[in-house]
Amino acid sequence: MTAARALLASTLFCVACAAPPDLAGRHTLPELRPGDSDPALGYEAPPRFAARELLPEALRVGKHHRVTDPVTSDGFLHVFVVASEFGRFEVAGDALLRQRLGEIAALAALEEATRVPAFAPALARAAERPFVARWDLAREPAPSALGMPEAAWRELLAIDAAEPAARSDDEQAALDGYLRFERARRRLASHLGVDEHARNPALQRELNRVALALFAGGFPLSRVPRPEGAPAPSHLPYAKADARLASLLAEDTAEDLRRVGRIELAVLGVPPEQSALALAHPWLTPRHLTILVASLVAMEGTANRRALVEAAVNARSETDALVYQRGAEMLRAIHEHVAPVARLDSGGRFVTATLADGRRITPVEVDRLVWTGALERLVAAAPGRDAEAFPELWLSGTASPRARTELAARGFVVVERAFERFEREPRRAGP
Amino acid sequence: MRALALGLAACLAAACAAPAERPRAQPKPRPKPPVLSTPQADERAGREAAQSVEAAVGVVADPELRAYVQAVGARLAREAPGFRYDYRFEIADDWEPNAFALPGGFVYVSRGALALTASEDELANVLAHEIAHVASRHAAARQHVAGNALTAALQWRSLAAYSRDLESSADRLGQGLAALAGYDPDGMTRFLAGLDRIERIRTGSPRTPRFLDTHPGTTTRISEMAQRAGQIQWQPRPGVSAGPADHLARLEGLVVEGDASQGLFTGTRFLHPELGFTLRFPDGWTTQNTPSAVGALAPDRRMRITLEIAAEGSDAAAAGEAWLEGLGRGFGLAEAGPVRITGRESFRVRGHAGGAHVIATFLPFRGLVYRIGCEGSDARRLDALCTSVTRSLRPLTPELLAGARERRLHVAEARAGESLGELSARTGNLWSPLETAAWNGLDARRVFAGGERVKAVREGAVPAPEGGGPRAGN
Repeated sequence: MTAARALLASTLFCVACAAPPDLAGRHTLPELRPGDSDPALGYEAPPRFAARELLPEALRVGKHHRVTDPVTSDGFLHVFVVASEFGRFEVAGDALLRQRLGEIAALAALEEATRVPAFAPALARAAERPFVARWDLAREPAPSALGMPEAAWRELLAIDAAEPAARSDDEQAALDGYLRFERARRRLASHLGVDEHARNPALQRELNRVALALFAGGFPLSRVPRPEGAPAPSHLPYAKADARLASLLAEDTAEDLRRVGRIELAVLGVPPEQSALALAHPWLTPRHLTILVASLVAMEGTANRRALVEAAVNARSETDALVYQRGAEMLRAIHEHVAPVARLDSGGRFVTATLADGRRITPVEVDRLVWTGALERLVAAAPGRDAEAFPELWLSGTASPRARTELAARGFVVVERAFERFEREPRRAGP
Repeated sequence: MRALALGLAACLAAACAAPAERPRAQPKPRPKPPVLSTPQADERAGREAAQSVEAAVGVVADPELRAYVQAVGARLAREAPGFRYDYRFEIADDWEPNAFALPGGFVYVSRGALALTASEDELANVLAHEIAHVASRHAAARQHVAGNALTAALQWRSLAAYSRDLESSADRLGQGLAALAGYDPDGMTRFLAGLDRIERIRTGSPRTPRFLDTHPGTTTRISEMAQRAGQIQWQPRPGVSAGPADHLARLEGLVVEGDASQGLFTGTRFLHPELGFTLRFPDGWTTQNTPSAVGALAPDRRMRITLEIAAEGSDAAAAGEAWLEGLGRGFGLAEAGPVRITGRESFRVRGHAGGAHVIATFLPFRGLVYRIGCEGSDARRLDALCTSVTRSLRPLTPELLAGARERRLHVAEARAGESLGELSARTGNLWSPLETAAWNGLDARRVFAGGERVKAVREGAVPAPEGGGPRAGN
């Protein structure tokens, strides 16, 4: 392992570290307690799989990683352990696994780019440019999506907030330089197929380093190899179909997304203090939040849409953030493919949609749902069957036969592989 | 008609003289309009379009009113999402209640829209709606604005029109933006309700004015916006104005309907205080003063006469020949040459186009060359009327100007127990009680408690332009 790789390994996936590192890739809702998976207490033991049972070969073993056996479960999501040349780490959920493997492939590609002979001179040239020199960014690229240390970022924001006529030439040059740098960073992230806002310090540091060389040093993007064997991201059906969302994600800086998010959250009726929490959340990246908010905005006419935001600010890990984002996408899909959602209601960390036709649907992000104490507590807290309708649990993945039986006995209808269902069913006409 | 519109008017003159139905050379395929690929490109295209629009429409020069609108706009722009455009806010010199934005941050609210607002909250919501279009780069989805600045200028009133989806998006973002800047998001609801009232007064039906063209149905839209405003949580902040009364006070003296400084009719006589001339069209004709030309149409619609600025300077022959060069093959030239009219060395072209007789006379007057275009099917009558109108072009005297009147907004204070009719009678308000009610968002049967501020319209003398007014002589 090279020194650079050792450095990467030491920080890899500790993420923004607002939560303990071991939680970063874990699903923290709902938590399994002792006895929750004890067959003697009537629960199923979370399944264990060989990685090859769940993953295609290309995903299981890549040039820079290997998913080890066994793959365990927390009763909702698969829990993978990935061994890579950047370290060994744990990740919960198929969706986050794909993201992680993409980041590993991107890191390898970035490292390869920095070994190109033209890279070091390009970075040296970049160091002399006003924007880079002002905050000495080339010497130690920042490990965050800001692209610079926190104090420098605050200084930049102050320049941005000033009237254009009140800025000095140096300040204007710094601002312009940042915007060009940010654009280069975004292009680079897109080239590598990773989320430019990812809470991954190792990835962010290398993105920043290479982006500096790209924007100010004349290093060509074509010299950055495409990541090898990076998996396609899991479903993001609306990020592709929603032109405005696609444009926001492709073209807007993190600060732009924050600004537009702040406005949209206000319109959704989210109180300012809750909005501030969401916008500065350690795990909800601008990308997560933008997709989540765009999904809610698309549900025009739905009452109490802020319930999902109120739930999402409880995210305590990167997995949680993805769960809420995908939950929002599923709600939007229900609204657009099934029936208009009349109202959202928060039940703890889950959100239930009441449809115009009276049905109640709770989207649940799972890989494989098994009957555990955690699930029993979840359904016990949820409103059960009533005279009007069966409550429905719409799963992104599947449920074990036992889980289906237990849920049915409690008056729940289980719908599996919901995203695939939406793809089969045409979008209904507008509300 | 505006002095500023010289370049545009020259283009229009050529276009007007070439009837649509005349044969043309096979047109070359039109190049694909440029795509607004970056915000920087937006700014460049927007600046170009803004120059054309401002030349064609004009902006209100009142420094205090401009500063007020700009201060409200700047406060909103600080909260705007998207690219950090250097937003610019202007008052378009037009009485049609309208607002529009060009790519790159050029935002316009018309004189009429400004007069319709009852508070800074309403004005802020209108501006915020336009900022939302700019910030979301909606113009990139409407290429003709940037792709052809002249088209934008000619069709500027349609610049407010976006697709339903884009309008809904701007409605939402605009209300949110206004709320974040400390303005009541329900201000947009009140403004739209006002627009609807005005349109009902004008047309007797809720057909929507320009600002609402292609927008979702007004009633639906107002209802959606009111509902949205109700769910937005916002904190009011002190405004640029001290409150609605101060806002209205800032509108005092705003020109209502046509701006006399840009020319006005008294009967069929046209007066242009800034350019210092007057011209008389035939009695009984329908007259029209547009930003780029002034003209009249015969009652049987078989003859029309227009006056436009053709060129700067005094060389009428050069202006006429340049115009001739710009004509297509569909124009059949009969004669062209110098002619002396009321002591001026002028240039006249006679011909026919599309079955109509055409006379174009180029007449120098005070540093500009005017083109008086006459078109009609009856050659003898056309010649007589055209000569009469052309010869009527003469300097505007202080006496003539003194007889002209213009209308301005007046904010009156109501007295206790007063009805709208009584208020109008006392203040010389020229709006009917129904119009006054509509422009103020009041019930026409309203009896005032006293102290309410009411927008009204008064007529007064046209002020002499800066520099001493119409000059005697040539």
